[in-house]
Amino acid sequence: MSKKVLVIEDSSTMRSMIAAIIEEMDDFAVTEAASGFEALKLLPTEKFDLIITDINMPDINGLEVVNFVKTHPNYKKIPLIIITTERSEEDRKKGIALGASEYITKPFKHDELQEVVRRIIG
Amino acid sequence: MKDKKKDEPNLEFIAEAEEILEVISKNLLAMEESQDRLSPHPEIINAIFRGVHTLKGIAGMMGFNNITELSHTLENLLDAMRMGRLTLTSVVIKLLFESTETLRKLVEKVSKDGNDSIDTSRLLSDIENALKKKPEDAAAHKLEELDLDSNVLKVLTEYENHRLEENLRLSANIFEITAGFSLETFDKDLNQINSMISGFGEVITTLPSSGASPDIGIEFKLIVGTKEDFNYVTSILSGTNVKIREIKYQRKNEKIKAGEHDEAQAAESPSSVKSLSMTVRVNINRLDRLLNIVGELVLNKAVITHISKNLRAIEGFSEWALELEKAARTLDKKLNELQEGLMEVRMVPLNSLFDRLTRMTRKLSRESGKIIDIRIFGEETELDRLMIEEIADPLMHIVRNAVDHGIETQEERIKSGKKEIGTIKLSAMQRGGHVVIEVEDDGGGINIKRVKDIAVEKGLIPPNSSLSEKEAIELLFAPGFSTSKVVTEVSGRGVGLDVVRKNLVKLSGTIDIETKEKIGTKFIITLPITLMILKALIVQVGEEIFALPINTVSESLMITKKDIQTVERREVIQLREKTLPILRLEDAFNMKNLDAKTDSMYVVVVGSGNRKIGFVVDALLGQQEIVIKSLGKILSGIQGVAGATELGNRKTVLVLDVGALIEESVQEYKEEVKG
Repeated sequence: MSKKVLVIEDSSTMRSMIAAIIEEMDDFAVTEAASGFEALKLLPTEKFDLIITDINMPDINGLEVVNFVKTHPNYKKIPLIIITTERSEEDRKKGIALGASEYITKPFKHDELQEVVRRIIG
Repeated sequence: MKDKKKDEPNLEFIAEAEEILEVISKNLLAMEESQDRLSPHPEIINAIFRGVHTLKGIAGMMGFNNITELSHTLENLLDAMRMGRLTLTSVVIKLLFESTETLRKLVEKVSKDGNDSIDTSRLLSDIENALKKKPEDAAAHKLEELDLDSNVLKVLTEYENHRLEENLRLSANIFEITAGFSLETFDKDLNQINSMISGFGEVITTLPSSGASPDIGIEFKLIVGTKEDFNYVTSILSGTNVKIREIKYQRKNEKIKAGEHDEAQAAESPSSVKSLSMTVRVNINRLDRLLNIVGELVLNKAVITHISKNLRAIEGFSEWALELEKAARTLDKKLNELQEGLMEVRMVPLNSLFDRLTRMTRKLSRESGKIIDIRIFGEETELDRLMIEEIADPLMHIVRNAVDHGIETQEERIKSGKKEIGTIKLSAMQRGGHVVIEVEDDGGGINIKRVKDIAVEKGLIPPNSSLSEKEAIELLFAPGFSTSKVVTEVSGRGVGLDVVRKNLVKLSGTIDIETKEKIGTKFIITLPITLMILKALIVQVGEEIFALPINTVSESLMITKKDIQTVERREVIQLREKTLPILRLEDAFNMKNLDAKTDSMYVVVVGSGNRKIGFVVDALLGQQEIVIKSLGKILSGIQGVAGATELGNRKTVLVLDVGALIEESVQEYKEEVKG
């Protein structure tokens, strides 16, 4: 069975890029969420194996997504990757402290993302 | 397929970049329009920052170095601004505008030539120079000392951290607002609360948690900064189901003696009083109540006018009769003003709905793999607040249809020599007492032959029936009709245009379709600007009196029996070389057939566009303002009746639901043709 990845990112270009990179790997299926709210709605609908989330988003931020998932009885086992920028070191540290497994910094290469994903749920 | 993949990222990048630049421009304008343009609402700066940040991210991934570099430098500037390290000056504002313009040119270059090579070095160094200005000192509060759940601080981004500190610096009151929602509706519910809060304060962060029932519900904690006090916040949010707690902290000025207190605070935040906007947020229900009272006053006014007329009839031009008539006229004028004023308060521009539709279209177009440019016109057009809520779903349905069935796939478009990118035009305009909303696509148009085939297949019309194009299009509104071969993700399941029309008819609206094969389709929705109080034409049929909303009436004429012809077992008259079907209201309501005593009668032409019909009535009794009241539960199901109203002589009459009557008569006609 293919692994299910939830990608939360408000930029559509970025989101489809990430989706394309992940779906290039065998046996991965991506569900896209354009906002934190959309993600909160999608979470109960499927059993996800991995969540990849941006930090700066208009409704709820990525750190809040991490905290929500990690404190929720139904989702706390799902690993998370946060997407950060070179600017937001503080946010990155906070994300890891809240329980994100990995981070990846924009702009990243194809292989970089695939490698991180494999490391976590390969 | 491979080739398409290669081009797609560029197109998608351009589409999103344009979208971002649009958002930035909007916010720049909002900044210009702020009461104090040098201290705009923090969310304005943050929105611009986020846009530039995203643009940098995607340009970086695409390898457009000039865009990346400029947005990176600009991002530094904006970050310094939003974090309070740089003060906004006219020079900075000018730079923001110039940068946005340059970014637009760069994106244009990408769309034309596939690269972004434009020299931006001067602009870059200007921004760098502006950044060198001395940073403003911001004495940080110790957030840890706040009486806040420690989890809240852990999830604040750097920016949110700064906003919290900034609120403390300005001695704002901080509130923690907690609310639980169902998983299905939390986004709507929360947006509602957010928009209430944005009237008086700033939402610093929105923290979700699983709450008490994690399988069906979700809880949110909002941290809000405001100048208002606990009582005010509680009263504004009183209609909602939230818990409000004030977060206490040691204000910097609290040690100062009482006398100096005010002054010190005023000096600290010079723009604090000014920046409060001059608006009041009011619950729509309160306005409804006021409007109802006005409605009753209108009825009373009608009584007075009636008495005054009677008095004149009895007494002639006596002093009292004239006085009363004058008073009634003044009352009439003032009531009109009051009514107009109240209506105006209820009006909101369509832009938020259009924004929602734009977002949805972009999402749908991504999902469907079609590239669609959505253009908005007349978003400032205003409509009654309740009306906007009611038309959201029908409009979404139509836009969905346009994405799903209207716009062709890229391959098809290229094959038929069209631009690769499809366009959906969403426009609104006011025409007299109506608002016309149009959804126009440049897609393949409606395939009339296919429509007919499907209608035959579904048993809606007999095979080989000769329908005009207009009649065929009408079939789209027939219950259970759907031309989609497969149920797609994009188009709703099972809900068809029949429901859309039904919902619009409920609002006294109409919907028409214009379509040209290979060129596109246009949906035209016409709605009255507001509901409830409306001018009506009062007509008499036999012993009964009915009210017809005047906005549905296009004209009325006198005819004689011999003007009525029968075509295909249906009564029609000729109206300026066109055939107009007529409906006898006594038939529609199964009233005693009085067999018109006189030869002459009136025809009231109602409806719009392709759906016009004439109601045959015995007499026209004049125009009057009426207030529609509902018929109550028991009678509410009656077809063709929108409600009841009282006339000035305290007589209750039925208000006809013109849309439904047209509908019914068309339906009947179809059945007859079928049988």
